[in-house]
Amino acid sequence: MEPTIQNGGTVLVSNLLYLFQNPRIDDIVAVGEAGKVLIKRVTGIHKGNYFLAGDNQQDSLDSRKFGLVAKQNILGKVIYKR
Amino acid sequence: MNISKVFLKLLPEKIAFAHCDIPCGIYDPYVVQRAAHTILRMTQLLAELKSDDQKKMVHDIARMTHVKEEHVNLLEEELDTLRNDYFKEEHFKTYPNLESLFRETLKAASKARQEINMEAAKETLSGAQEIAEIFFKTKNVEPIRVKSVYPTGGEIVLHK
Repeated sequence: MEPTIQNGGTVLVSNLLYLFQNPRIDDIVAVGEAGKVLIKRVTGIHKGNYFLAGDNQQDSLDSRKFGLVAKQNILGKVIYKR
Repeated sequence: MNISKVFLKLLPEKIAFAHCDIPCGIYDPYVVQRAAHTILRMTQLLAELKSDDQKKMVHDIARMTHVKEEHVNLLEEELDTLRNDYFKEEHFKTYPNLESLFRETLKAASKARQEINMEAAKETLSGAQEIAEIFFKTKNVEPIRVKSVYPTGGEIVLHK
């Protein structure tokens, strides 16, 4: 996700927002995948599932690899980063 | 300490991966091809092995088989890295034979490991070369086959 999020950076993730609304294109979200928490950007929505991609397209492990992600696997929205 | 720092301290912390793979971008099909050439060379040497000295013969067979095993392991590991870390879904869509190419190359390498089998060793090398060609195409450079300088002869795939 460089340059948006730098190595060692801190993000604050809210798990409340998506109780009231669905993730939108361009949201940065935390997602549980392969036993890890990943931070990715929503770049596409298809029949209620989400295509997530890293900003660093060349090397990001993202939906191009693990496919579309269901809403219940999205842990929350990044609402603050530093 | 300001209020936002105190607030952040109160929240549960978890490590998240924004990059996941280290974004080094260093992938190269060269090692796969070198390993395939080594598998072929060891198979050639094992097939041609002749000696009146039985002890030496057993010793040479053990060494060559060991090197062959090592390079099949290396080839498998490198192919896994290319298949799982480098190639993305769009590459597999653009090159629909890529998945079967990986599968067949790994199958041939496994046969080359189990037997002294020149056909399987040649098939392993040929698969490694085809994968290398696709790799370079995905990097938007033109692959070229040049004569290898190895005793196995044959070619190695580089790019212009």
